[in-house]
Amino acid sequence: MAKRVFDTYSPHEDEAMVLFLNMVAPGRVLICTVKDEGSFHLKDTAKALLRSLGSQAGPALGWRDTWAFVGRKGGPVLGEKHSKSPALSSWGDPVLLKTDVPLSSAEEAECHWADTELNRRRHRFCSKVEGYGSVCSCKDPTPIEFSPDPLPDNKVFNVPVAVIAGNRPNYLYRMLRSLLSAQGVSPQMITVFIDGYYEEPMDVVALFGLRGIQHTPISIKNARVSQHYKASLTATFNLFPEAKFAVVLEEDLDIAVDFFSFLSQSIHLLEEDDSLYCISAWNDQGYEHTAEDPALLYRVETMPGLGWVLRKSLYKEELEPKWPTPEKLWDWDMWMRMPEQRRGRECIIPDISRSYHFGIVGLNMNGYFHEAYFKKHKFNTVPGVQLRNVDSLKKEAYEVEVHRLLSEAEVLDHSKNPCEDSFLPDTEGHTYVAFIRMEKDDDFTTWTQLAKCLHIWDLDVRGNHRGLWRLFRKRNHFLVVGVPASPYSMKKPPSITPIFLEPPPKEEGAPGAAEQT
Amino acid sequence: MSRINKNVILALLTLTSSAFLLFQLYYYKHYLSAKNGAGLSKSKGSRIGFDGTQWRTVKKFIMLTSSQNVPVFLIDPLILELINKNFEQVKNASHGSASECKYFCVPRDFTAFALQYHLWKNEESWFRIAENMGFQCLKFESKDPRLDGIDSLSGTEIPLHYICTLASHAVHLVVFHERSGNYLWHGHLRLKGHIDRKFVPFRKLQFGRYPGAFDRPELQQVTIDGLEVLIPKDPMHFLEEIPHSRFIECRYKEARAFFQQYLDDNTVEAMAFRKSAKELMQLAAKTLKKLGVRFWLSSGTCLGWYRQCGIIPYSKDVDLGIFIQDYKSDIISAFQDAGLPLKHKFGKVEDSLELSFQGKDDVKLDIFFFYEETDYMWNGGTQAKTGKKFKYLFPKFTLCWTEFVDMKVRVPCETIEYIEANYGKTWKVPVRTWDWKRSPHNVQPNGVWPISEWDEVIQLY
Repeated sequence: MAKRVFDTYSPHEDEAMVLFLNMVAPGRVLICTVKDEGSFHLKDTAKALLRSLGSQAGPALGWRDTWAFVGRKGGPVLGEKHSKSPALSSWGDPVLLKTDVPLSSAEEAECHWADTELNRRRHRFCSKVEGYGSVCSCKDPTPIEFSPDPLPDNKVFNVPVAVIAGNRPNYLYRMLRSLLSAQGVSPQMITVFIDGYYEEPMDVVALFGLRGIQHTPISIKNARVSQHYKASLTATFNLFPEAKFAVVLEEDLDIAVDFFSFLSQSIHLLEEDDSLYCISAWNDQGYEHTAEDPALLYRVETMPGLGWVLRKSLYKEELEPKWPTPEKLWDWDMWMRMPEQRRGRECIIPDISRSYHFGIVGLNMNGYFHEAYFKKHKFNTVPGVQLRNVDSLKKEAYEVEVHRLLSEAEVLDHSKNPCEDSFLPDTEGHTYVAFIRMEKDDDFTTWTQLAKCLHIWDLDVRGNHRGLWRLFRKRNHFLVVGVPASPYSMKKPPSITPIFLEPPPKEEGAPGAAEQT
Repeated sequence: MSRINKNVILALLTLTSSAFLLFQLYYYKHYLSAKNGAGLSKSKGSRIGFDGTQWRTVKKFIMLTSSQNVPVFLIDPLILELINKNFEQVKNASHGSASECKYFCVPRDFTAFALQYHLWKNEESWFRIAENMGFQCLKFESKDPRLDGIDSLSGTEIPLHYICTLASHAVHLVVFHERSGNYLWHGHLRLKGHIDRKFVPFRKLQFGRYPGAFDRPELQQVTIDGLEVLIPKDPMHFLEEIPHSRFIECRYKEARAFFQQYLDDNTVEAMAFRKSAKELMQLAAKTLKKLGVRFWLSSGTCLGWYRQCGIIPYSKDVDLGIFIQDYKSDIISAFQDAGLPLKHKFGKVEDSLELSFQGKDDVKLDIFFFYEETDYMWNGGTQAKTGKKFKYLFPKFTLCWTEFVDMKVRVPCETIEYIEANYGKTWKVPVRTWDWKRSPHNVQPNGVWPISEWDEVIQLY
């Protein structure tokens, strides 16, 4: 059984619908209907699929039409009713459809896989759930057990992994597949925490033989998410009382094949360096055109989330006792980023992210947001990457490294427009530095404009370390120093004037031009 | 004459038949044990007793668990006692040198083993394989108490006990789960409706009548009766824990209900107090454990545990109880060494002893010593400026373990009676102003100290 809603009034939802319908097992009974408006972004592919199901009205669906359809995947139409809307401002008449559906016997409908523990799980799953494609294929069922290569000297084999989930079971399925395929994963350390008593996510968890826990939801909106996080983290440390860390993941992330390898090589930093707040797999500024080196790590003054490691002492001693109470409608991650919680500590991130955020539907997500900020995020697919110089990420050692980089960096021509590609020469593998105006510690005016024109994260300030940003452009390492607020300002040659980019005027109109002084 | 003869003959006959019966009984027993030994001695040299069902069942169980990588260890009290008595011999015994079945052949109903659940990789298939080997197993599961915190979570049930029989002997596998506070916990073995009450003599089980808490034991491998088993490195310590292992959960459901009615205090001061109180409790627990002195949560601290599974933010201090017979003279110096100087000492060992230590951030640690009378317990209080004595009465109680602020601590098992004695029936209602001389429900004036004793019984620092 499955129930899905595709908002085909909005873009790209019809693609999701096509994907889903393609994944339904042949012979299944399909019942479709329209709620409000379903034709505006119902494109040709979707219409062709509906036509192939035998529908006549589906491919011809118009604005605010009403429609009801009962058919069989791969089989005949069993009934269809359609009513056109008479005018743009009104809807079609309600339709009532009654059909008889011939049933087939259970033996005919079920597959006959070999009797193993795995297939027993598969059986239980497939008899309840639909839309997972070849998991339930009779002839060629997709494997549900993965044997990734073992990770030698795995320092995170006994770190519990908490997967924070809601009710997006198809996302959870995709995420768990990638998680269980990562090198060095310990399936018995994984716990999926579901925010509510939803069956399908629990079915997905049981399919993979993992531990699932359901949480009675408290509060609403972002406070509900925040309470769910708290309950999940507290439970994680209760279930694994000897653990000193926990890995926190979400249901809408692809996990890199070297995710645990990355953590295994860097976890000792979190243990030894008190100035660290977390290790995260996500580089907020790591887009396809701005991230280059899978062996490179940075220290940043933000907490990216999206696949990160939490220190137990930080949680038990600082965060848990003052976690926002249910009536506070705050985002848990914004709260964690506040100076009262972060207290000047930093996170370690890789240049190329070890997680990919694929969720399009969610409390804080929609298609446009995803397209703009997440789709083109760079994701590491190289297995077994050896991180370079990990101990240089400790507090003092990092300063030494930054100073070294800045001394070696070639200063760019500050008369050029920093937004243009020509700002950097056509080289590869060089290190360049540019100086931007940053009057005070919290003056991010120029940086925000630069981030905007480079098409990286510009909704708030991420990725900085004492007024320094590090990224790649045209495969060269590109350093940006905020002058005079950054302590690295002293590296600026006296002849250079820091770049100033003015934000566009407040009235809606032409985008602000980049101004340089 | 014939009458007397008849009686005499009757008596003689009865005597002879009884004697014959007794002789038969004696000979039968002797015959049986001889048969066991004799039978074996014909085929395996002189290994007496190894043919018994108990030894064979245990051997098969050990084979099952080692082949499936289930790291069980022996916790059977009877056998551990025997091992403890002959510990040197057991430690130095080499494989296969046993000539007589000394341990596993001791007559008993069960052989108890334990398993630390987090070390068990392959739970799914174990059951099936056990059955294939001929074992008939019963599994006892329940909700995971670690999920039963302030938040409302529910997951799949966790295994608590397995009872597996083979050839009329039963193995009891107690599943231990690790919990915050660095201890192992096992659950209550509850017979649900459909279970056959005659499957095994459940009443004779040594573990499972109550949930239990134990220190995490270090294990060592020994060879006993020709079988390799893991046992606790310190069997004595484990055996001593068993009679005092009873565990009770904090009442989270009631705590949640309490917070629905009386919102929790989340001010900075409250959080700071909770943090300091927790640290003080940890330090006190560590110090007392080193001394080997039992203690339990008392007064406001106990009320906080019972009513809201937490530290009452306006309670101002940490209250512990100690039986006066457990008093040790080096308590004061031990606390001093741990960084908690003595703030005041009231009473004396013989009467109304009370100690108070100064912790960080103005949080005090009050230790009340409890005296035992025929049918009640009491602790004493002293008013420094008047020398007035007070007596607080409690019904007799025993001690249970529980988990409180990530620690394993003791509380009175009969908690509601203890709480109601101290706070009356209105204990559910928070009271912020408390006068220790008048507010407690069980306070009684107890006279006054003679002035000549004041130097001894009223010491302020």
